[in-house]
Amino acid sequence: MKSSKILLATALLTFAAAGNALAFHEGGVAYCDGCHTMHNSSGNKAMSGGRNTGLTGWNAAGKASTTQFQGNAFLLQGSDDSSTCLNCHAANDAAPTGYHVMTFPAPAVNAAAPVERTPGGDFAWLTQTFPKAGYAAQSIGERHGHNVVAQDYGLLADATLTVAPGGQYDAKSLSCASCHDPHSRARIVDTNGTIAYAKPGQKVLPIGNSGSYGAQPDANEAVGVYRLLGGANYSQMSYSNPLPFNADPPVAVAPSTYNRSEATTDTRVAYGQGMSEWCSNCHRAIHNNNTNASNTALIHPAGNGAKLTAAANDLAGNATGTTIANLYNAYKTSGDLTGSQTTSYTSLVPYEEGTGVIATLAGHADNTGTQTAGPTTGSENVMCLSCHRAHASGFNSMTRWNNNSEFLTVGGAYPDYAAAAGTDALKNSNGMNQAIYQAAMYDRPATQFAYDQRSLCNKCHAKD
Amino acid sequence: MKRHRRMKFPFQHKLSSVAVTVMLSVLLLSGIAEAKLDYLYNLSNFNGAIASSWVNFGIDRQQKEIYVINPADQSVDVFNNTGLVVHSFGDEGQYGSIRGLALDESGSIYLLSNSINQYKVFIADFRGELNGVLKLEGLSPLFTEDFRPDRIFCQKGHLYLVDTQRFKLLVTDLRGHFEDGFEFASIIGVNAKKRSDYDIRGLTMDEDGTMIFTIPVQSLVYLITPDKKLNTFGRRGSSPGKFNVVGGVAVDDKGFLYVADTLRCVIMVFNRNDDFKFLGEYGYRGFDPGNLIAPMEIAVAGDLLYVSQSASRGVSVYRISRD
Repeated sequence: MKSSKILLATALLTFAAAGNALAFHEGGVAYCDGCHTMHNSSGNKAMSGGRNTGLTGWNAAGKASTTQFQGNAFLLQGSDDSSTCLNCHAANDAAPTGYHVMTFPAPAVNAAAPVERTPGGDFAWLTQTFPKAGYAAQSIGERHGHNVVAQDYGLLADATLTVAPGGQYDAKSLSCASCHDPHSRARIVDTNGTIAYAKPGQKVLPIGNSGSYGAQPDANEAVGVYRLLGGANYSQMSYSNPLPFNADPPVAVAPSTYNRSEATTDTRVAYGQGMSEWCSNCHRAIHNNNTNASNTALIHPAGNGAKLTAAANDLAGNATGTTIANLYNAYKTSGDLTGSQTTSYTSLVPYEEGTGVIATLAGHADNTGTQTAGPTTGSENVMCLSCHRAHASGFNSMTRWNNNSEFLTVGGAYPDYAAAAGTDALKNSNGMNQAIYQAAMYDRPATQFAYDQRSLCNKCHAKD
Repeated sequence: MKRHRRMKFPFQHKLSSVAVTVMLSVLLLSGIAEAKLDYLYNLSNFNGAIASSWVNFGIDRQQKEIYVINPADQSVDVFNNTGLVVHSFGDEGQYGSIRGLALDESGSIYLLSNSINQYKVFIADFRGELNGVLKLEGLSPLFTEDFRPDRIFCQKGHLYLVDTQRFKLLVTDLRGHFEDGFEFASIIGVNAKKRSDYDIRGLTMDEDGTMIFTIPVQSLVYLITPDKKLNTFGRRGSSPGKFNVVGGVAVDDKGFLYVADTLRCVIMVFNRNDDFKFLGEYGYRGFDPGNLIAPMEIAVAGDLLYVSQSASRGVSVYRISRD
């Protein structure tokens, strides 16, 4: 009798827990009709209603049916890949919220800022073209990020960079699914971050949970890869990349609440390894995995081999007297090199830790301000995301800070397009009003920086 | 000719004839309750339909006017019940980032302005001209710290401010004096470790102060009464009456509840007085008049239903026919 009561209680608890286990992706492919319509029919009516193929910048390839039993391309319910994603991931929010990666509708330029603060950035920055100001030319929205095409949300193809820089990926085909595999088969199968794939002739653990927040695989189940990023040999149905993916997804861990203002504490994503190698799936010629010891590959190194232990000028007459890591740890603001390793981290200049060990990364993923230590192990490396955001930012080339002018702060305040003509505040504003500029810096107060703060390239290079 | 078999009610022999009569009457009455939607037009000015995406609404029930808040330019447009704009205000930025709007019975307008760092409730007259800022008084610590409301409603002399991020509801009188307030995360069973699975999308308030909202990841509509009792309904799926990506929600005074599905591009109608029985769905994805693209916010004023959409498709208006 006693055991049956326990069984009953267990069953009830299991049922209750199951009732809450409703998240959509859970590290892998979601339920099919969350995005697709099998027959383009529901209640004996068509479900997918085509798309506006006359829209400028729209990739008109593929079927756009309004007829019952003749669905859209890939049987999608949305107008296109990205519009389907943004049905959930775009929102008209007042503040950063959950899994939202785009403020929609986008605010009027300089009236309000996009509100989402995910580490990847808010796609609404793509719609924000800031006027010419001082030193900088007009900061065109198109230059603020990855121009994913999403017809229902007003996002059009990049008209300038028509193929991926360093690669051949067609800009008209760029979508959320270009980077994120909505049917993600890639999975982490051990606690060291080893990635495996389900494929014919091979048996791997099933995906039981998201792998973005530090959950670890066990003997029975794997976890998904970071952010469902496409794995090696990932091939979109909607576009056949002339440079098929050849790199595994990176290993990283984000805090479970990651879309948030960084006014008081940073959102620290613990990047592990493989980010730049993965970016090179499309931007292959940009990628340089190694430190530039022989001074031959004259582009900025980024990748697993680009260690922060690389030699650097010690600013005392020795061109190779210290390391990038030491400068990172010493640098606080322009002119202030009194920092220490225990408090030197900033999410404006993140780096990879050079490890795939999930537990280590989970211990560093944080939004409470308790994980502030900078590089210390010698395995850390620079990566693409050290300078760029993955989705979009307020600045050209989707950098985390403004590289269009000398100063990030002027006289202890952020620059301001509304400042008087001829002032440094205006000249350095990138055409952004002060409140918008601060939003683009993820709400950090200007007081976190020097009275006249220069580029955050100096976090590693200390030239200021 | 095929004879219809006479249906025998289960356990009929154990029920009194009165009870059976009552039950059948209830079934019969609930069976005839219907609400249908017929597309009328899109909200327009004198040049034609107005393009907009995912605007928010405020309702003047007395004048049967709809107030449309466009977050893209912070303006408020007022439309009469023929769908024509009759007035506009707020486009000079005097109210900041307007998130919501409510009207009291005297016609005063309460504008909730919310940025990441602060919020204010402005009071404006019927022309939209600023009369002052509502001073909230007597608040408990629950609402003096970490409270950023993003929705506002006014019902029967009470103002309701809802913080959907922190799951807090504050009730004041029309002068801003605290009346009630509570946190509802525990009521709906928010899992802190999976907080993002509980993002509220649509939210409305009925005349009695019952808060009604949708959470897409849970595929549920939640109803929390003023005495904190919870009811939910909804099933995940893509067939009629099910929730795929559930969005806005609205309620009328006849007991019908309207739910937008952003992915399926339909407005579903449910009978609140009949265990949320599904009565039908309208719209469907497409570019023809009456079709919808990613519907989000919805509102009911009188016998008109307003639906905001993406893709600059503006606000579609449907007539509600109730039987």
